[in-house]
Amino acid sequence: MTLPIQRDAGASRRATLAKARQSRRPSRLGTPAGTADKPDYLVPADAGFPGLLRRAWDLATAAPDLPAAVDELLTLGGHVPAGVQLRALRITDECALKVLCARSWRPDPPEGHQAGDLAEPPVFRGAIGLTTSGRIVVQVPSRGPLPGEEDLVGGVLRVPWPAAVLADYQAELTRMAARYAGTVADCRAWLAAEGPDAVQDMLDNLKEAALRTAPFVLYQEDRQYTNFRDLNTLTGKTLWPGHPDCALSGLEGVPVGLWSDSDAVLVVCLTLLVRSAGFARIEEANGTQLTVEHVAHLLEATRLKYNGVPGTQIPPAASTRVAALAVLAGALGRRRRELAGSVQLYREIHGPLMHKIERIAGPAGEAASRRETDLSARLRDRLPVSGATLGEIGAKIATAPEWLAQPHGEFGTGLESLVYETVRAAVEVFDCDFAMSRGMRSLTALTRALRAEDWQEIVTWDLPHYYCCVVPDPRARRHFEDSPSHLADTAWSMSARMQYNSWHFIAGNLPRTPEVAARDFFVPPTIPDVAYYSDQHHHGHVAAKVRFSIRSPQAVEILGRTFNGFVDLRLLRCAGRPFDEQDLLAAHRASGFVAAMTGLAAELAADGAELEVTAFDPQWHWSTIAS
Amino acid sequence: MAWAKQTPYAATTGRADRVAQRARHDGWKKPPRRIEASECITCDLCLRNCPPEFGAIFDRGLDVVIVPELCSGCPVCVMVCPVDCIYVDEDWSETDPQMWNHIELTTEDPP
Repeated sequence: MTLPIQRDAGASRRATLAKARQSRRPSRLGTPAGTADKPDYLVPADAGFPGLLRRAWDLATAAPDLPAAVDELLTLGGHVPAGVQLRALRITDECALKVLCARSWRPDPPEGHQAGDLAEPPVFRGAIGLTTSGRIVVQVPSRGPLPGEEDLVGGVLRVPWPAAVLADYQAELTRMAARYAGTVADCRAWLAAEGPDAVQDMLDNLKEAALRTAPFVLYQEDRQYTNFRDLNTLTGKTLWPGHPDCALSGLEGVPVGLWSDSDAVLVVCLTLLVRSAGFARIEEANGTQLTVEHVAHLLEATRLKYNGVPGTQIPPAASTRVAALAVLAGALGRRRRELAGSVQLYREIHGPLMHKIERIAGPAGEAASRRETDLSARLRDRLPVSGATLGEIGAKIATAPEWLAQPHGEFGTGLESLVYETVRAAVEVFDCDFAMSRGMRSLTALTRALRAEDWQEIVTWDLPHYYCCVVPDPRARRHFEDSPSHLADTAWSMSARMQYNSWHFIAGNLPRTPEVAARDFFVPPTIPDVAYYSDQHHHGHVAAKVRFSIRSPQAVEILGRTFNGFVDLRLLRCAGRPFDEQDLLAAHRASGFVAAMTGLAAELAADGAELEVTAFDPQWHWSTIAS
Repeated sequence: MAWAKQTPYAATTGRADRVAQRARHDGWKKPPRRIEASECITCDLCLRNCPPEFGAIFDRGLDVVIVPELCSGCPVCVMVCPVDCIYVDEDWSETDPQMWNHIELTTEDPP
C-alpha cells in the first residue's frame, strides 16, 4: 500500500508509514493522527447559510411594511443582489410579488406598474415565507398553507389580498402561464427537430458539465437541480455518472415525448447556456429559475456587455424562440473567445447563492498601479531582483533565471522564496487577512512525466505533490479567538484545500485518455473572480471565515503544453470591506508574475535542474505563524 | 466522488453482505470513525483511500461521511487526512434509509 501522504517516493515503507501515523494538523504535530478526544474547532450547526437565512427572516418580520419585508428577503439582508432572488421565484410567486409590491426582474412590466392597494378589505389571506434553500415562497390562491408544503426558515408573514389585487394576479398569472406553456412547446419542438442523436449528445455534454463544473443550483418551479447542498439531483461529487438519481442520467434512453415539461426545458436551457460560453456559464444561472425566458434574459444581458467592447457587434436574438436563442448563444460563444484575448473577463460571485456574473474589467487605474508599484518595491527589498513593475522584474529575472532552482535564503529554491515573498507582500499591499499561492511541488517530475507522456503517473499524484503557501496577517488572529495556533491550523487547512484544487485541475489539462477521463477533475479556471460573502457558502469557508476574496488563476506553459489554473494567487478578508475590480486587476498582475516565474522554473527543470518545492508543509506553516 | 465510485469495490461478499443487512460485522472490535464536518476540507483523500473491501466513505451534499456500518475502524483514512479531522465514533448512530438506497448502488455491477 502506498499512502499519499508525502511526495518523496524514495522514502522507505517504514518511514512513510511512520510519517503517516503522525497528525499533520500544525497544532498537533508530534502526536498520533486520529487520537484526539474531540475536535478543536466546532462551528455552530446554523453557522453560515442557515444563520444568514434566519437573520434575513428576522429583518423581514421587523420591516415596517410588505415591500420592505420582501426587499430584506430578496437581498437576504443585503447579502445578494435582489435580481437573483427575483429570478428564483416560481411563476405564481413571481406574479404575486408583482401585483402585491411591484417587484419583478422582467424589463417588461408596464411602466410605473403600481402595487395593489393592500389597505382595501381582504378577500383572501395569503402568506410569504423563506425556504431553507433561500427562496421566497408565496401562498397564493390555489396553494395550501406554506408550513405544510415548504421547508421554511421561520414562520410566515400574513398578506391580505384585496379583490383588486386578486384580479390583477389572475390576469398576470393567465398571461405568464400562457407564455410558459408556449416556451415548453417550443423546447419540445426544438428537441424533436434536433433528433435523437443530437439529444443524446446534449445529455452527454450536460452530464460532463455537471461532473466537471460545480456547483450548480437551479430551479424549475419547485424542482431543485443541484450537485451541491440539499438533496443532490445532478451528477457531481455525490451522484456519480450514471447514478439513477441524476435528472440528466434518468433521461437517457427515454423518448423525449416521455420527458416531463421541466426535463425538456432543463436540457434546452442548459444547452443554450453552454453554447454561449462553455460549462461555466451555467453557474451564472445559479439560484434562479431555468426557463427559456430566464435564459433569454441572461443571454441578452451578456450580449449588451460584449457589445460594449469595440469590435464585432452581436445582433439581438430575432425572437425569444429557442432556435433564435441558439443562434445568439453561438454568437456569444464565438465573441467570448475573441474577447478573452483583448479584455480582462472576470466573474463576480455572490457566495450565499453561488451565483456568478461575468464582467468585463475596465482599464487598470491609479489604484491598481499603486498596488503593483508597492508590491514590486517589496520584492526588490527582499529578493535579488530589480525593476519598477512586475513586468520589468520578470523580464530581468528571465535574463538569468538560474537562481530560481538554487537555494535562496531559508528556502531550498529561489522559486519558493519568490512565491513566499510575493504572497507576503500581497498580504501587506492588499490589506488582506490571508494571501496564498499554490502550485506543483516537483516541476522536474512533471517535465519528466510529460516527456514520457505518462498521463497515468500525473493523474495518480495526490495532494502531497502540490503545495500552497498561505501567509496570514498576524492581526488576523482576532478572527480566531486571538489564537496563533488556531490561525496556523486555519492557514494549513486552506493550504491543504488549495492542494486539492491543484489536484482537481491538473487532469483537465491532459489528453482525455481513459485513465484521465476516469479521474475526478474539474475544468481548470481561466479567468479570475471576486467573491462576496463566501463565508455563507459551505463548512470550510465558514470555519476559515472566507468572507471576501479574490481568486486569480493563471496558466503556465510547460514543454509546449498549456496548464490552465496551474498556479494562482488568492486574497482573503475575513471581515471589513470587499475587494474591488482594481484589486482584482492588480492581483491578476501579481499572479501572472508568479506564473511567469513558474514557467521559467519549469524550463530549468526541463533542462535538467532538480527543482522541488519542499517548504509550505504543516511544520512550515506552524513555524512561520504560531512559533 | 465519481472516480472512486467507478472503481469496483472488492469482489468479496463481505461488503455486499453488510450493505444488504445494513449492519456492521460482528467481529469488528474497533468502533467506526467519523469525520468532523466543522474541520473537514472535503478533499476526498479519505474517500479515495478507504480500502475497497470496506468502501465506507461517501460524498453527501456538502459533507464527506463515513458509513459506520461499513467502517471497520481501520486507520487508513486517518493516515491520509491532511487536517486530522477524523475521530473515533463510539456513539455512532444508524445510517438512514435514503443513504442506504444510495450505497446499495455500489454493490451492483457497473453498467
